[in-house]
Amino acid sequence: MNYGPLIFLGIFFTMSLSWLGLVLGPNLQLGKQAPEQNEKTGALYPQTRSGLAQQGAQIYRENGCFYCHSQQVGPKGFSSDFERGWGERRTVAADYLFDQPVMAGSQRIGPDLANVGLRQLGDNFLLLHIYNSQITAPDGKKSNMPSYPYLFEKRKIGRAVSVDALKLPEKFASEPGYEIVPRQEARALVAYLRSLKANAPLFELPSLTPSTNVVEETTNAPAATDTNAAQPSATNSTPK
Amino acid sequence: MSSSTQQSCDGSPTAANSELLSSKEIDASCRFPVFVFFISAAIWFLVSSVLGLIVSIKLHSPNFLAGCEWLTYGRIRPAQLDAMVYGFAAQAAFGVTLWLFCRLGRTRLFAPGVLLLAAKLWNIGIAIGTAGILAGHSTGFEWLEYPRYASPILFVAYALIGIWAVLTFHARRQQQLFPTQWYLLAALFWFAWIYTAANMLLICAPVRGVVQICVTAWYASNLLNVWLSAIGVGVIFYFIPKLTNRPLHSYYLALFAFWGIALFGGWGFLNVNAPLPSWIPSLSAVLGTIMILPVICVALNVRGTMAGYKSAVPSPILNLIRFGAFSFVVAQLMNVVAVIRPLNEILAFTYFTSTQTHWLLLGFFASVMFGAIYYIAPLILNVDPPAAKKIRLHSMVLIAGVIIYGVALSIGGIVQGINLNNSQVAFIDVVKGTFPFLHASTIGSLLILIAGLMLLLNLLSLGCRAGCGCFKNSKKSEVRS
Amino acid sequence: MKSAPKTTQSQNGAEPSVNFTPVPVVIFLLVGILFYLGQLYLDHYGGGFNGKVYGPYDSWKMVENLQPKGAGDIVFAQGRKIYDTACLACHQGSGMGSAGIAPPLAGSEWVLAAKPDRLVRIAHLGVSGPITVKGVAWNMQMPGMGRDLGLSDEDMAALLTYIRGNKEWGNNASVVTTEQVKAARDPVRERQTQITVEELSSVPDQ
Repeated sequence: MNYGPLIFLGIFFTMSLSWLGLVLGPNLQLGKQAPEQNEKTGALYPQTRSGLAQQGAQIYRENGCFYCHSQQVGPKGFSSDFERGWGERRTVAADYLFDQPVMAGSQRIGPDLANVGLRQLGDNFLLLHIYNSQITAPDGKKSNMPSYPYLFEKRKIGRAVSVDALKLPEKFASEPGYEIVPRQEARALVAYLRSLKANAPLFELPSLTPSTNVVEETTNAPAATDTNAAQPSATNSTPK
Repeated sequence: MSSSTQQSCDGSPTAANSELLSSKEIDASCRFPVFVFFISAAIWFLVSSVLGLIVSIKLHSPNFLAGCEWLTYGRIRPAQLDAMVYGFAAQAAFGVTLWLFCRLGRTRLFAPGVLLLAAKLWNIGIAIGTAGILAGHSTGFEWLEYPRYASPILFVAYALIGIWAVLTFHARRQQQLFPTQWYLLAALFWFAWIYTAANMLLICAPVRGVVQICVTAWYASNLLNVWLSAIGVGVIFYFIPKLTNRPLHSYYLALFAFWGIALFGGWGFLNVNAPLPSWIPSLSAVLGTIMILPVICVALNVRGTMAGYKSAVPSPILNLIRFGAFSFVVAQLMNVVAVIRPLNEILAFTYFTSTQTHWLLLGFFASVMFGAIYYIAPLILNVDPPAAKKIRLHSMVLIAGVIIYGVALSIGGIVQGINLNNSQVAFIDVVKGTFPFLHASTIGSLLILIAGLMLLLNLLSLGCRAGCGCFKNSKKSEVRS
Repeated sequence: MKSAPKTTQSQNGAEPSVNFTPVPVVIFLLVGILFYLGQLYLDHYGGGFNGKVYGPYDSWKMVENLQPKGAGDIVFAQGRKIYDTACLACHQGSGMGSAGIAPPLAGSEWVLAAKPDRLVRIAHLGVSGPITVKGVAWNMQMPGMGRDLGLSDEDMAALLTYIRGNKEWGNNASVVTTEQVKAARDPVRERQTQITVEELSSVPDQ
């Protein structure tokens, strides 16, 4: 009965296989990833977020937004992420490089937010949505997102309504004489949401339909007659 | 391990000195620490199920308690799950492990004071951690939300408990091992390792970017599918033979299941399109799918042991443990189903995946632990067990709650997934489609809460009876003297 | 009823024993089958364990082959990028537009016309008032993206090339050159108002 240590090591090694494959392997491969330079524009991707957006990421973490909103989208054709406008392309490792913590989420009780910054929703819309999502739910339908009144301040209106007070629809308006003003936390959260963009073109995600043939002179345009590129310009400029 | 245990541990102990210790003495030595673990587990179960009920209500009535920062969904959800895992499951497991090590090793639990201290520390750690999450100090990693000021306390407490349990195991007088002992011993070491590794890699010296996703998934699946599963299966393999008074069907199946869980349980069950190079989710799916084999082995072993068993008076404890075994199979199959590529497209990100956790934590682990607690607590307290009726009522409430919640949200998740996949259904209508299931799940949550309350009350009444017994005894002895 | 737990209590002394029933052969067969299938799966979806291969790409080779190569590709990629920032929010990634917000670009006769002169004006100045696209009447206010974002002729050409030649949308019209953009834009470069369909109709598109 002195197999004890041997058996112990055997068990430990067996159990550690998942660590080798799922932690050590990926860390060796991806742990040293650096921002990538775009060949054409020379821009680095990803960029660190602005200070306010970084504060917002912490608000996002504190309030556990990621328990309902994922931040990861699949490729076109898988599920309906693309059709729902949640992402032009799938998300990859590079998109999360500077996130701490990475909050990719595991549930879609709410819509995916990987590209919410691209949806041009506007600060006012986002603030209203955070204040009370019933205001912004489409067609007056019921949303099951909680409201976050504690990220806002209810203030007595002074001489005039503040510039940054929420423009609430009548049904949700606060009592007369008061206004709802976003706190710093709400502003930071909105800045973070607007910074969520996973759309940079990347080496690892080339277009699946190579566009080399665009330069070919085939066309489905109605009555294709003149596709000569180098056209004398004078004939085109028609006076209005 | 195999050759030394060939000669069956059929209860006729070979070591002569093991007969010196009666089961009663062993049980008595476990009394305080094990009961403290059980009571704390019951309290945390109750806390968690209260939070669970609030979570469940909030999902369909989002403005319920919305004004309170501490009770927003994104904070009570992790607080609920962590309280369930670290507060209830871990402490129930500590108690059961210690008792089983003593019983199967025919040895006393020594220096229980250290364990009482460790229990105190552990509970303080969880209380601080839970308060930290509610205050917004969560680390942001699923299953590891306890803020960094709570983890060291848990770590120290665990080290004490773990070392004590290993020493107890080492001091055993019955050298031959029963399969349950491998499971529990491996689980003891395993938690220490995954908890340390995950905290190191995510919080102390965080890895970069998506590697955090890998580590989180690795930790979660090891926590639930290896650590908790190993403990629960070990306990099932002890109690089913014990309660039916038959030998465990197959040593080899138990061995096979053990290695299977150790090898294939911890591969993360990642989504097919997690933002990782495709080999990582693919490997995770392939090896995760093989988890089906140990699950079959567990099922076969339980069936084999139970085959032909009939009892005039069905034991409610046996029912709880059998339901636990059934839920284990359900939970693990759900895991496997959700990583299969075409099904992953539908099931990823839906309630189906979160309900898998529910089946595993409540259906499987809580049922098994409730059964074990009802069996062990009267023995260590040396009082009559609670009336079978009480246990039966309790088990029915728990099982009904688990099934209502589990079935409603599993189906709800599938419906949600199908709607999500259909881009013609607006997102707000996907949400709308889940409301009936969410309402039903609230009923399940309520029943689970009642079950938690019943466990605590039953345990307290046992404790009171034991206390009165002691009091009477001491009075008697006083009179005599 | 009460006797049940009592009987279990009486058995407390003896710990359970274990039988040595062998593991069914089927289990070992299943191990083999699952490993075999798993290996096939990894072969197909494993991406050769390369850190730059993500689904739906099969292999490093495929990713490399699909990299934009010719000048046309680069222009196209640049166009896509401008589209994503300037147009995507309303016209959508699918080019199908969105009801009540923006008409489709995929298969639109305004986009696919033989000469891009009208398209250049639309993109530069924006459109105001009623417009019929693919037989459907729209009445929108489109902002002049080219003017507002200060897109260069080169950017504009890339953007319009991308919109006209996007095969994912089913579009396959000719390339728009910088010269064409310049020529079409020069007469209206300083204009600050949107253009209307009546004005557009005086611009030849054949």
